[in-house]
Amino acid sequence: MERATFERELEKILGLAYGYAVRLHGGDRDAAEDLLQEASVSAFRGRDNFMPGTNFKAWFFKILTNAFYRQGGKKELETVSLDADPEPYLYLQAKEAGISASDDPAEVLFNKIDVVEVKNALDNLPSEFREVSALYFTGEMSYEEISETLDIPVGTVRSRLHRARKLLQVALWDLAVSRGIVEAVSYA
Amino acid sequence: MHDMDCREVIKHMAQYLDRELSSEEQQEVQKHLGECGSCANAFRWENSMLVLVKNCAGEELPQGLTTRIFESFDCCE
Ligand SMILES: [Zn+2]
Repeated sequence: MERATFERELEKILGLAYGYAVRLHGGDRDAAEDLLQEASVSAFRGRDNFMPGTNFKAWFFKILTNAFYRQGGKKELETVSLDADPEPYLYLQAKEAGISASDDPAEVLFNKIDVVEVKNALDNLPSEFREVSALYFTGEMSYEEISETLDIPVGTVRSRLHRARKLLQVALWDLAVSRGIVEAVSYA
Repeated sequence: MHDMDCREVIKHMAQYLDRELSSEEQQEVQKHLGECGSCANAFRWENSMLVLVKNCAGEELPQGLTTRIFESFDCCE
């Protein structure tokens, strides 16, 4: 691949890739910049391994992910176990807390949560959930692209993402309670 | 085709909102949502949460980083 073509392809996704790197590094922007730099050079060196007609974004994000773990990014073992059955956690909590179901959720809850606190909630997920969430929320990837990037089956992407969402909802609800946005639900 | 019940519809919620269902399943869920206020509300909440997190999850690319990265390619051309 010509250098100019490579740079053009890379430039299109660099913003998303930087966001992904920040999330992988738990909000550390300097570390993210180093990571993006390293991954870019490594991709540039290996640009002839990219197969034309395949997904450049997934190819690059995979290099970025590998660089992260090569730099010593920790991969914690999965310790979280959650019900396999998905449930609309926030909605059920809100109903329980007496919020009218027909209210606009953005108005009664979501718009009142600080952007930084949402980022923190993402950054505090256990690493394997942080990885898929960052690809999904920050990298704006489909299940298929995430599966390609992480070399895991689509079904695994789906179940990890669902569990990540549940963990996020629990975190956001706890946050809303601690900030006094909503009232705690008592299960007396 | 059969009609999905609330349990099944909730089970498909995440994939529905991500447009990862088959078009047939997508339609079945949609049909249920048109008839069931409680599931429709649950979907509204879930979607609102996704929008919030997506809006907060990104980062602005630092000024000049693209140029610095492109310049670093000089060394290994
Ligand atoms: Zn229903």
